[in-house]
Amino acid sequence: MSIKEDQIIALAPDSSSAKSGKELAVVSKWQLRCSSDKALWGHCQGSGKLPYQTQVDLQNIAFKCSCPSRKFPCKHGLGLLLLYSRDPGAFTVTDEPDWVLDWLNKRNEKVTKKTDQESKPVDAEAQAKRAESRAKKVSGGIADLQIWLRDLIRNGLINLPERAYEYWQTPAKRMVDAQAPGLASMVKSLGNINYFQETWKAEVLNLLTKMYLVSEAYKHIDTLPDDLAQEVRNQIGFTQSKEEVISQSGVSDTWVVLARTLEEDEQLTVERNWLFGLNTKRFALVLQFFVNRQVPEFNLVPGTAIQAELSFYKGILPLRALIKKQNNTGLFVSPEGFGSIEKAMENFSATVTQNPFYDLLPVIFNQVRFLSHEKLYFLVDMDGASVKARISDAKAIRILAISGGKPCHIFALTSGDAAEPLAVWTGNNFISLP
Amino acid sequence: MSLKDQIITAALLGSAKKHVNPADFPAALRPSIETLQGEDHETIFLQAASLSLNYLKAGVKPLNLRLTINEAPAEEKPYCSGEAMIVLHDLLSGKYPNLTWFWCKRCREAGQIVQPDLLPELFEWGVATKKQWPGLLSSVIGKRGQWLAQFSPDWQFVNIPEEEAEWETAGLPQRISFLKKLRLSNPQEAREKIASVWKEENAATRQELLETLSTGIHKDDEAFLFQTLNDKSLKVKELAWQLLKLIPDSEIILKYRQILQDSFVVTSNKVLGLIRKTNIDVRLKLEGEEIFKTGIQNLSNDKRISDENYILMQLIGEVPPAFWTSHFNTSPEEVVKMFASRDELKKFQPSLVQAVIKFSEKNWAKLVVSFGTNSVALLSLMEGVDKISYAEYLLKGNSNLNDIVNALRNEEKPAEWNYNFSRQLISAMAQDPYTYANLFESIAVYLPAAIVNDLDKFFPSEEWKRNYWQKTLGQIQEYIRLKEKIKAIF
Repeated sequence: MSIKEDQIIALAPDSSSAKSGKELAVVSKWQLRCSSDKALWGHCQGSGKLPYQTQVDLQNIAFKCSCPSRKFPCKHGLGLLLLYSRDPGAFTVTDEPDWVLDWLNKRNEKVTKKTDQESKPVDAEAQAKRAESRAKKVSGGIADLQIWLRDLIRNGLINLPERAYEYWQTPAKRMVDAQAPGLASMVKSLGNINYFQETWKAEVLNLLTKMYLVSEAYKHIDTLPDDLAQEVRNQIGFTQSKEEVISQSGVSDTWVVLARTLEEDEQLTVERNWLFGLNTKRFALVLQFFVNRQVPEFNLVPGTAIQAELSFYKGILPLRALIKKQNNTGLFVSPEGFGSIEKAMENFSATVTQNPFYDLLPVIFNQVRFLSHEKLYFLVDMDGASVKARISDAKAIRILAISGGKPCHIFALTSGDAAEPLAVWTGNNFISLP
Repeated sequence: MSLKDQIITAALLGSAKKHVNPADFPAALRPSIETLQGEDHETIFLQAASLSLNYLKAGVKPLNLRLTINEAPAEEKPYCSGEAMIVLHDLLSGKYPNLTWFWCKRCREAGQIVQPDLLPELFEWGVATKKQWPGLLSSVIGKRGQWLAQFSPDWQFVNIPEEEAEWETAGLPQRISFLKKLRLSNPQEAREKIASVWKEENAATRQELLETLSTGIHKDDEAFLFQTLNDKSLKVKELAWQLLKLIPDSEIILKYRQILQDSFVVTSNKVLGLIRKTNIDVRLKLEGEEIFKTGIQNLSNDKRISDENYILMQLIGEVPPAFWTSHFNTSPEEVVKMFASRDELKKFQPSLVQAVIKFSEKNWAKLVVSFGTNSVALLSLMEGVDKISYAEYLLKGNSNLNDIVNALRNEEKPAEWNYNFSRQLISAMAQDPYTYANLFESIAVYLPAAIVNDLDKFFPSEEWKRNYWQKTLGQIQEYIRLKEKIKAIF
């Protein structure tokens, strides 16, 4: 079993489902308990006449149940998987019955169908017209944005903390109208800065200069090399269609799932999954978006490894990727990163030299100590070099508990001068810090 | 000023006031900055700032702070099993404080410690329950936990001072815990420690420190307690009086005894020259009014009780029951019989019970139940079969179930209650699920596992309470399941 109990609990949609799932993880609740190398299935007596049929895809963690619950995964799915993680001997190993096979096959067919659909040709002429119209709108928006930026700089930033939240909404809306959602998001971020913290000045300036750099680069986009032009377009908010990305050749590897963070943006939940390829030694960021009770396409569990083929979005040293095909979920393997903080920083420098639009980059620190010093936290390597950790006290305590001040492995997002730990592990003990 | 600070300062002031000067930039950037001249000031600033910030970002270097390595010491005890950790995780995430206590107790008894993963959550439980179960957390968190406590001011209580130096610097909870422990081995030293800091502490702290004297209180504490009677705080003074009255041979108790001795005059005469008849003449004999300064009230608050009797009742409640065996020159059994049968003593039965409770007289407790008193406090003084049968008696007498349960709990040796009593208790609780639903988690440890099979036989007589009771039943099953699991893993 490649997935541990706490990881299963992390899949629960809420704490009551997790609790109910635990209560169902007992043999007596299941009239039928079977397993194969691909799936688990069982019958659980509910309030109805017939027992619920519950299935779990073990290869690409997924759930199906005949119960009427609108939660996903439901308590039965969680209970069955929890029971298997605790006591696999309680399951009869056998071939999948038809009702399980049908579901597994349908899941596979769905992936194939999607790939077929995604490779359908598009109307190139209409597309070109749309692109031209959008380019005009974006150029207009950028001209306005630069006027706004210059006004800000002329008057100085000193009074920004007194500005109301609405102050940022007008330029943000203008960027939305100009079909430049990437820039709109950057303007909105200015409104989300905590102006009570001393760091606000640097944060504002970073965003303003980034907006300026992107907008200025867009003005010269025709003269830029292809990959840099694509990166600028990404920053502006030109999306690459999923179909287009999926149709590219993928990168097959064993991808270690290092972190999963959730961010609520009004009605939309954005799930960020950070993966690292053990052979290719590259990071991937798989985003999933869902609304309310919508089910994510993939259940990626931090502290596991998946055999998968990933397609990367175009750009300079791209990170964002889509899962083209997932074959299996396996045990976590400690990935190789940087034992030297200096080397990690050199790598950061090399990356931002090629792609100056990156603010945060993923990094794995091997054998570093996590230390507390004068109410601040630091990662310190074996040579004594250190980097400041940007982390809450609660998360810091968790790392200290696991590591005891001894060398450990940390996955973090780094801005060069600081690192934000998202996972820590020592040996096989992996802890996610969402 | 660093390059970044220079740029920030310029941005705060605005380009209308502060223009970009290439000379302010590092030599590596200067040629590029110079090429920007000719544009408007805002554009020049934005370009110079973009260039500089990227230059800084692409040239980050590690810090060289020479930080002191601070490692947790190696563990001396073995870790608990992975299965035990799963149960603990369930307990902490499901908010089961009493079952968590049971888990920790079993873990300590097994000589094991918690794996580091759950230490932060376990500390949070410990903060909320440190007064209820002092010292328990410290015994299961191992060296790692003790080391980890340094990172949170709220967790200092786990490191109880053992030595003089630590006493000087320890916080109040650690000092209280330390004093209680010291009172058992060296009561005098503990008292001296309190006396040494007495003048420096505020009233609330003085009160908490003084309270520790109740552990192993002795005649030797009397002098110090007399001094504290002059304290500015009324609460401290009241506490000092209470403590003085807990010392069976304290001056004040001896005074009370003398009054009782003078007030209960025993005479015996022969009737028809054959049978010896004992008379007890009860009449309050007071010399002066000094006792009214010690907390004894001189006016009855019940018109059916005379002021004289009211004063005697209070005095009887303050004096150790053994006084009566010497005063009547007979055994405790006979004393209880006299209080039960003689009209002149019957009215003093509740006061005798009060004295039994106050001095925790276990042998007397078994005897005074014959008065037919419904006293939960007596229950906590009883043991074994007597305890359960008295608890059953109290259940029938509609005593408060919370109080009965609290008196029955024995956290030192939490043995299961007998099956019949458990049935009766749950049956009584079922009648008022809204009041008692929260109590089950704290008594799960004492309920026999087999009771689960009988749970559906209990239900409230009132229909409208049944839905809620059904939910409570599910919880009881879960509590007992977890309890059995804890017993199985340790």
